[in-house]
Amino acid sequence: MTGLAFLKRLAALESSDLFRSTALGLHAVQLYESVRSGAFENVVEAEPLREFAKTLAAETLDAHTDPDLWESIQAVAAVLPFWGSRGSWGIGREGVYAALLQYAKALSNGDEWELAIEILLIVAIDAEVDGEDYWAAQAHLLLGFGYRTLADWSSSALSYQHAYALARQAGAFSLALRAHIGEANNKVTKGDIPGAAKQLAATLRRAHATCPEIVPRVVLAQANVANASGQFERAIQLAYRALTLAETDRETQYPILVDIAQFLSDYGVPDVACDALKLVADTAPERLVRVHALINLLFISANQQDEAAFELTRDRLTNEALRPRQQILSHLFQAQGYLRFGHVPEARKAAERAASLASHHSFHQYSFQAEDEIRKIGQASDMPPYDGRVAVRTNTIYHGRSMSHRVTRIADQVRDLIAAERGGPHAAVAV
Amino acid sequence: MQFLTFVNKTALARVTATATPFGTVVAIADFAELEARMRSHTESCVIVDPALLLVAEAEVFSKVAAELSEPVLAYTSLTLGAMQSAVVLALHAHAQFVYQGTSDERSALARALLAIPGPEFGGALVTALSPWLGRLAPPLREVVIAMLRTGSGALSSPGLASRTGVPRRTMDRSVVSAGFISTRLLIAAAKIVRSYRAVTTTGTSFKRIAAALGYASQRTLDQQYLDLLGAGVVAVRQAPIPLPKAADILVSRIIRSAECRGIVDKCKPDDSPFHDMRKPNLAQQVAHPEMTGRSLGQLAAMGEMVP
Repeated sequence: MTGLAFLKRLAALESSDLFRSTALGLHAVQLYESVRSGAFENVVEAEPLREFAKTLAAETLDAHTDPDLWESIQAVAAVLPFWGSRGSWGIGREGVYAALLQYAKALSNGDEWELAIEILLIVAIDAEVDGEDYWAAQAHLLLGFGYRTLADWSSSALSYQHAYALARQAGAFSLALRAHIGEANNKVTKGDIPGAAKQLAATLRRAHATCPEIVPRVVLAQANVANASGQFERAIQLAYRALTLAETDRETQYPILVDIAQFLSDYGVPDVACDALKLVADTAPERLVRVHALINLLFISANQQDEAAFELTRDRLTNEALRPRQQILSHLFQAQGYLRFGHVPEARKAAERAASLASHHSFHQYSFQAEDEIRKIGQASDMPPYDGRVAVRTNTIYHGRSMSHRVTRIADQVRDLIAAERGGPHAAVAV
Repeated sequence: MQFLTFVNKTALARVTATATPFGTVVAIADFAELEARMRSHTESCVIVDPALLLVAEAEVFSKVAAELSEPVLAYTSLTLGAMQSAVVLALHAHAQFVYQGTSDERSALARALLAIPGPEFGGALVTALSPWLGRLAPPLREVVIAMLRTGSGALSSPGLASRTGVPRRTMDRSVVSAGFISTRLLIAAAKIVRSYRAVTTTGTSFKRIAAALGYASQRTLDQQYLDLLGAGVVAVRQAPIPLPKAADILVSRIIRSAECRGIVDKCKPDDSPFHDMRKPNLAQQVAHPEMTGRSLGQLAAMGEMVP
């Protein structure tokens, strides 16, 4: 039954804001089902749909509602009246699929994966039945990612295969290649690093010949594979290459910069990583990317002896509307920072909050990490204080590693890039 | 090519990043400027967000675009206002559509920019095909004309059938009874229209053009050009066929020879710039399942006999 996941979610919700947006989402999906089954076929009948769209467009956004989620629900409501537009090349139908995919994407960004998958399955099945292979391929591609996030490997692999076949039929080679990147990411998650590297090498060759706009994405995936296999220098080189390849596309450059910072931090160059993350946190146009950078910055400052930077980043994060996964990570890293700087009660409180949120949202891996953090805090508080501070055993980011010539050069280039950006129009907004 | 771009600031950044390899992007501030620029520039493509047009403005815009035969790419956001104007553009300006906010947005934009048809080719082909297009049922005719003019839309017979809202076999029979050899060749002709500008006026690799237009490989693209225009892509890039001539050659290849004797005569090898121009393989066409279908009239009569 369509909407079952929505009803389950509504039954479990406590927040009235979330209840409202979820209920409106369910309403939009039900309207879609009606429209698809032939209701509102003529203009007079479609009037209630237009009224619904107008009402929704006029409603103000709640303070705690995610703007992307709200806009995507409005988009679904706005395009539904055009489903049956005659003689207009099916743009109403395409618009509805685009809006539903936008809604599913917004739900997944908010970690509402079960709802997102319900919407994606609707689009995947209906669009394929309608012969709209392009939209079905997009839905399958997102399904592949969604199932991987929920650790359903077999469904994820099937979705990627289906996405590839449909994308080829639709002539959307970029989607087909992205399905291959998804398959390679699945292999990395399952530990098949050589398989992933081989698949990405083949995908890169095809991307160079057919879809240059996909090349930075493939190179970044290769960097992640290198980092996962412990080849940190290669990971940094590849990520920097992806950054230079995406030179005309500033929106893509910011997430790549976040990944470069992660690789540099893993390699042992946290100062350059911090500068890069600060730049992204200040200037990236997408809020999701800015918050991601802030959370990584919190981790680095928490595990590096920089209490002032830790407090500054923590304060900035408290002003952001965080999504569940981001909230958990923020509390987890705060717990690590408080413990390092000797504030045991605050550390325990943050770790317990992270554990509770992780359990509530079924992020089991984070639950284990939070429990581990609580255990460490317990051990630290049992130890006798030394020099007025609590004895702490936590992971420290390694400093002062002797860098290879190539990484030194890339680090310098990243520093130059940051300096150039800071001198630009965005430089006014500084940490 | 010049891209006259009337979109919001975020979309403009995306267009600029994507369109730079294909031409120059000119940002337009308001509708009056857009109209003036369209009238003063030739060889341009208009990229517009319907959300920035009132319905009345969309009607004026469509009229100007149709008058000047300028290709239109509607880079549309998904709002009530945008969709109202989008329907007008789809109906009257024969716009191609790319939707903002989808996960494949940038690639879709790049593909659409690469496959923007030249302003004259689609029009010339529709004019040349008008006797046969006139025999198609109105909904099918409308979709086929839009497909040939804009070069966008369905890339397969099931996709085209889905857009016309009729079963595939019914559509195939309707197309054949109107005088076309097959739906497959009709779609192939639309793909030629779509790729012709990229092949003749840009230096984009053939592999990339083939991928963007849904061909299985560069060889398939080349073969399609050989079959339908009588010359491979390399030859066409070196010596582009004049558009009215190309339209006539296409007509001679997708219409049954008995139906278009005059045009076939015009496109004899002696008269063509290419001496290796071949006629389609007749044996293959006869064996094609689409050719064995009965006409619509016969089918209706047989249907009535079923108890």
